[in-house]
Amino acid sequence: MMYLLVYLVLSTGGYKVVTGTVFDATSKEPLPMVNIVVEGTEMGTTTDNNGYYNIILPDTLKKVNLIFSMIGYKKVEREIFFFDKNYLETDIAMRITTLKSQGILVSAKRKKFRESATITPHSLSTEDLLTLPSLLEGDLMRTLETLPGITKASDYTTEVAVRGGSPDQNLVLLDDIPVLKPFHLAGNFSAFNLNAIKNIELHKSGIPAEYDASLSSVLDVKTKGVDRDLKGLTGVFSVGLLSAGATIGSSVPSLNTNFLFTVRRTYFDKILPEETPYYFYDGYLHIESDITDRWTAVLSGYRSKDFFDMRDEDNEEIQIIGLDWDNSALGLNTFYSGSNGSLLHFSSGWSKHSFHFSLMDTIFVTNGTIDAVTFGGDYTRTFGRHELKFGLKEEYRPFDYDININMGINYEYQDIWNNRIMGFIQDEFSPTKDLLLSGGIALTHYYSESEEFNLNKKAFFRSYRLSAKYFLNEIKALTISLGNYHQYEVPLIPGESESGGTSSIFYYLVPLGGEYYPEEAHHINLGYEGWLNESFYFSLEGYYRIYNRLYKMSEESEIDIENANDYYRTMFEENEGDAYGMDFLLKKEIGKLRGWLSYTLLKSKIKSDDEYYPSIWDRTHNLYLVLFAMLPKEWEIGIQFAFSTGNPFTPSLGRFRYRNPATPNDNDDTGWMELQGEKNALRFPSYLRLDISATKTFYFGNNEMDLKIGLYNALNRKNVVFYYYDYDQEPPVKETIGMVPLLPTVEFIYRF
Amino acid sequence: MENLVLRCNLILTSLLLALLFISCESVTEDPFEHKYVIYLVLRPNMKFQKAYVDSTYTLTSTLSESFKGISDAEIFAIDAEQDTFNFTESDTSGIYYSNDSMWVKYSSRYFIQIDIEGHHIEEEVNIPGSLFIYSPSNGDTISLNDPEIVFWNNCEGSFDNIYTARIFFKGELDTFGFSLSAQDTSLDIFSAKYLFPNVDTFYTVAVMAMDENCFKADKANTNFDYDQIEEDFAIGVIGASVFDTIKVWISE
Repeated sequence: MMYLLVYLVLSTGGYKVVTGTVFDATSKEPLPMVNIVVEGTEMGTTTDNNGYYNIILPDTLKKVNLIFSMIGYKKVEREIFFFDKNYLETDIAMRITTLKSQGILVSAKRKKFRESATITPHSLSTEDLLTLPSLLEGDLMRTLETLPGITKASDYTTEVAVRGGSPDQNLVLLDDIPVLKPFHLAGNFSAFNLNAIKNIELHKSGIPAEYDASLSSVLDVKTKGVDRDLKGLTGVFSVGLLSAGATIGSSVPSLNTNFLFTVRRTYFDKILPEETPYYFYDGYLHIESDITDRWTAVLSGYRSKDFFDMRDEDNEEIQIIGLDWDNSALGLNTFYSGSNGSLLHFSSGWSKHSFHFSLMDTIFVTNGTIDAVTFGGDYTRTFGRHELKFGLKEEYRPFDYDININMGINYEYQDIWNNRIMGFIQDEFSPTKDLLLSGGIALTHYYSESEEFNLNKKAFFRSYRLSAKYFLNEIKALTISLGNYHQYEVPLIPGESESGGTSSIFYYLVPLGGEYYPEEAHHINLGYEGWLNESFYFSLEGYYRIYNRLYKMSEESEIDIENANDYYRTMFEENEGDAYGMDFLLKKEIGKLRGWLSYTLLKSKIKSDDEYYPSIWDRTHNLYLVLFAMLPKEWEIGIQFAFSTGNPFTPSLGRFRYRNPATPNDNDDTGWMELQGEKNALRFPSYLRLDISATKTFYFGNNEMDLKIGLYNALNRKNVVFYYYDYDQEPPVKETIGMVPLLPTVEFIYRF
Repeated sequence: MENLVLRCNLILTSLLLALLFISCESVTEDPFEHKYVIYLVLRPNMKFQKAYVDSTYTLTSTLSESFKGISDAEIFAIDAEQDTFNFTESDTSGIYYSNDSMWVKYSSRYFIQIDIEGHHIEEEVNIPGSLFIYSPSNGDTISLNDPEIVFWNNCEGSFDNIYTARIFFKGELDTFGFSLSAQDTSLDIFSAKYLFPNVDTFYTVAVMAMDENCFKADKANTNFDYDQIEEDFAIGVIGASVFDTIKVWISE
């Protein structure tokens, strides 16, 4: 009808017509009821239900300025030049306002607040992750440190510790598939590409019973798809100082399917091949399909790889250092939405981490592979005031390690595997409108086996979860939660490190079996959360964790290698530990000035030989301030301020001349060695860092580009990684290895 | 209900402030503690046995470049036949040599006694069995293009049968070398052929076997397990090692 009208007008002559469709820039859905006015006149119209518009203008006009406006969307102005044409077709993309998107997120959070009996898990949106100041480019794991309860060892790692537990105690899930060591560049960057991530949730208290494989936390990462009604392509191109990437997505309505592919790769090895013997890449896929009205399937996964190949300048055949770090995961999740509101979910997945490291080809060579194959199914249904969820999960992990030291000592761990079958049931029960109770129990059958080592174990382990939320009013509540947690694999790190003190990603994950029982921890949390007003959310939670069993590598295990079975038997020594403290978060969620203030009080101790010492994650005070400010002319400023107690370290009290007993000559004076004091008894100076970023958005027709510039450690504060003594001088001089200095960053992101 | 909310706010604010207050703690550094430092490794194929007696030092004290250990220590070893072997201080204070030559026997046991400034130390040392390289022979030529394996005998008494093979450049034991470890009695040193900086020259290959104390102390750089002496007032190693060396001509 509309087209017929346009035709009739044009055929009469003396008029010009502008027509087209207005649609949402992200979802590409047509927008009805958009106001369109011709600037400087009273002429105007609105879009119809299909987002279609047309404006009839006098023939004398050479150009017009059309203004498109709608509540919740940014106003769009478009200048139209007719030249010698009477009919022009212009499609317009409108972008949702930040305020509206903020409102949507707050509504979702309030819904979750009312429905969950625990403190609402911390979440971060992709927009926040992309806007915040960053080291070279936005990083999910780096941004996590701004949340309460999170600490990390230094600027040179993205591995985080949650409430005093070591990084290996965090279960990281990508669309319900466990992923192992998802890092690049020796842990400096995470393998999570922000353009592929929809959102993340960090569970650190009241973790549901269905996750009973880690002592500290569950980081739930969801990959992003595209809108089902998307027409055409959507995507992102990005170039930063670290890598360049691309994201492409589309929808195939005839197949009820949409997909999104994301890749990125470092490029310095291409620009400076001589100086950069290193690259990494990662790629993500997300394919979502509505098989029927009720069945939906999501296939998602990722692959990431690091490759370092440093060779002798004079002889290319000689490889000085070789590193190959490889991660993959692929998962299929299917959902059935029942007519009674129930949800049936099946998941299956495979995840793999493999690595190879060699020094001078033969001096130190190690290869390792860990696989994780998972199957599971769960069913959720509401019965009156109960929401019941139950299910079964199975995870099978084979391990394969081969370590050659000095060409003579060879450790092989092959044909080792463990298997967990877990049944769980959880119930959310609301006896009154002010009270929400939640309980869960999981029963795990654990089986581990090896032909060579005595790590065979067959046992049942039980874990429970209890939590309650009492609503003081519609927007404030008190919570309590408690539970016990298990972990079935522990890191093997020579030297001083222990399970409570992992600070490197280069460790071997070893299954517990034989005489070792799974590590176990008990959590109890008391919380208070809610909204102070429409804008400010707060949460305050005190926690206490008891670690009944923690394992650290035993020094004797390094030498009892004649008998492989003895080696495993003496590999670990059992410790205990505890952690307690308080997390506080105050978050302004709506407005042109947003951000959060997080504070963590954290004490974490390990008990060894009947004595307690601080774990390396012990940080008494941790303060983060994060601010986003929307400025005129499409500028957005991000500020991140961090202050925390310095990391604990073991002091050197004195020195002595060391005589190497393995030197068959008189020259056995190999220099000085230091006497160590009490373990982790001292602190480095307090950590302080200020990061700043500024993002300017440019619009090119219906597309946009972000230019993000930033300063990491803008104050150039010399935070300390560790001390060492320089013995070239007498007396020796204490020197400092510092963390990342002032570092500028620049990043271009083009969206279409 | 509003009163309850206010009360919660008040209680939690007070709790927050109280926790902040009590969380402040002083951090004190351990005081420096003086200890004696002793290294005495018995070696059957060394003409004279040597011992070092030294002290620990603070990190701020300025020391002379030349070694000056602790004088006037009394050191002696007693074998199974109750024969006593004394150590006498050399011209350099803190370095002691045994008076007798070639008295340490393979597969034997010795009691070591040390008296320093009124402190007494006793340790038992078990010497591993004899160790000799039987292939290749001393002076053999080995080509890097024709890998050859170094073989030695099984040395009884070596701690967990872990051997350290050391390869020295230019045939001089006091020049830089690199060490390789072996669990068996053979080592394919040419799997590390890239470590040889030069060819057509002599290298010295030494194979060592150690008792438990020496082996653990050898790992000190990774484990901080440098102290193999039981007494609290002393650190260091009192142990034993055996070794054999050959010189080989390395060619392309």
